[in-house]
Amino acid sequence: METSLLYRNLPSEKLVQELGTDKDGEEYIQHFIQQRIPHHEARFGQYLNIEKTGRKKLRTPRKAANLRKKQVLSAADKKQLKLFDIPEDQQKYKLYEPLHHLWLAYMRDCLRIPPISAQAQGIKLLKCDLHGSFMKVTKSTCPTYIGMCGILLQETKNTFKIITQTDQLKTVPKANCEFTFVVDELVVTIHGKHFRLKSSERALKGKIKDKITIDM
Amino acid sequence: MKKKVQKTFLNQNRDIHLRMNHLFQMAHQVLLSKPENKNLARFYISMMKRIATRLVMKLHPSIKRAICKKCDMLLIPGITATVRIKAHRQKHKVVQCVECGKVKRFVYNPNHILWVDKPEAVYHPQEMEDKRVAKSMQETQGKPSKETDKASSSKVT
Repeated sequence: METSLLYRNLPSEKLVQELGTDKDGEEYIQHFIQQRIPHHEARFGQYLNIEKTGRKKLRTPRKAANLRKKQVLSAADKKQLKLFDIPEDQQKYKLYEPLHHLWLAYMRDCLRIPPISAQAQGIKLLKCDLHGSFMKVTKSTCPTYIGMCGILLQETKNTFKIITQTDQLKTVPKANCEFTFVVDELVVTIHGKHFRLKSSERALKGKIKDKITIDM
Repeated sequence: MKKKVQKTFLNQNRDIHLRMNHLFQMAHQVLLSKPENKNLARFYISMMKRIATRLVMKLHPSIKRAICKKCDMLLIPGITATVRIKAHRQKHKVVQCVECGKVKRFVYNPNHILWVDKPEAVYHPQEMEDKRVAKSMQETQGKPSKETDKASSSKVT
C-alpha cells in the first residue's frame, strides 16, 4: 500500500471543527491529551512539551520550617511571582466577551434599578467598576493611542489594560487620554487625568477635585 | 452571592455590594471560559478583597472559603484546588490551593452553626433603637436618686 494513502491530511473542514484542530499525527495526540487532562497534572508534561506547572516558588531559598510558617505573601514576593500578568495564550478577545455581558448587566443594575436623576447617575459612575467595559480612547496626546478600543481587563493606578479585537493586550496610561464607553443609551467620557487612582480607592472617594483639563 | 447586610447599609452600601458581587462573578466567568487563565481571576478576587477592607465590608463565610488566603485565588475543586477528606485526629476536609500550596482545613462538626445563621446575628433596627432609648432614660432617672442618697448620708454624719 502506498504511504501517501496512509498518511494524508484531515479531509474536510467540518471534521477539523469537530476535532478541534487541523493538526495530525503527533501534534493531534498532544492536542487530544491537553484537552482531556486537567492542566495542573504535571506528570503528563512529558507527553506535552509543556513546562511543569508546579507550585510557585519564592526567590530566596528558605528553610522548610520558615516556609511552613509563611502564611501571607509579601509585596516583593507577589511581584516576583508575577501573579497578575496574563500569559500570551490567554490574550484572545473572544474569551472575554462574556465578561463584557456581565459588566453590562452590572451597570444596568447599578444605574437603572432604583430610577435616579442624571446627576446621581454621574456620582454613581465615579464609584462603579469598569472591569469588562468596552473602552475606546477618543483623545490623547500620543497619536498611537487614539482609536484604540477593547475590553478592559485590568485597571491599575495609572493604566488601563485593554485587550483589542485583534488579540493584543495593550497597556494604556491614563494620564493624557480621554476614554469613552457606552451603556445602552448612556455615553460616558472619562478624563484619564482625573482618574489616576487605584480602582479600590475610587470606590471610597466620591469626589474628584477640579483639575484644569487641556483640550487635546 | 451572599453578603452580610447590616443596619442601614441596606440602601447606602448597595453600590459597593453590587461592585464586589460583580468582581466575584467575573472571577468565576474567567475560570469558566478558560481554566488556565488563573492570573486574571486572582486579580479580580484581590480587587474585591481590597474594596472590602477599604470600605469595611464583611464577606460571607461561603465566599471566604472559596478564596485562598495566601495568593487570593478563587478555589474551585478540581480546577484550582484539591479537596481531600482526612480521618486522622478529627475528621476534616483539606482544601489545598494548587497554585501556592496553602491549605485550608474544615473540621466536620454536625452541631456547628455559623454566627451568621444564628438568630442573634440578625439585626433589628427598631429593637436596637428601643433598647438605646430605654437605656438613656434609665441613666437620666438614675442621677437624681444618687443625689438624695448623698444628702441623707451627709445628714447622718
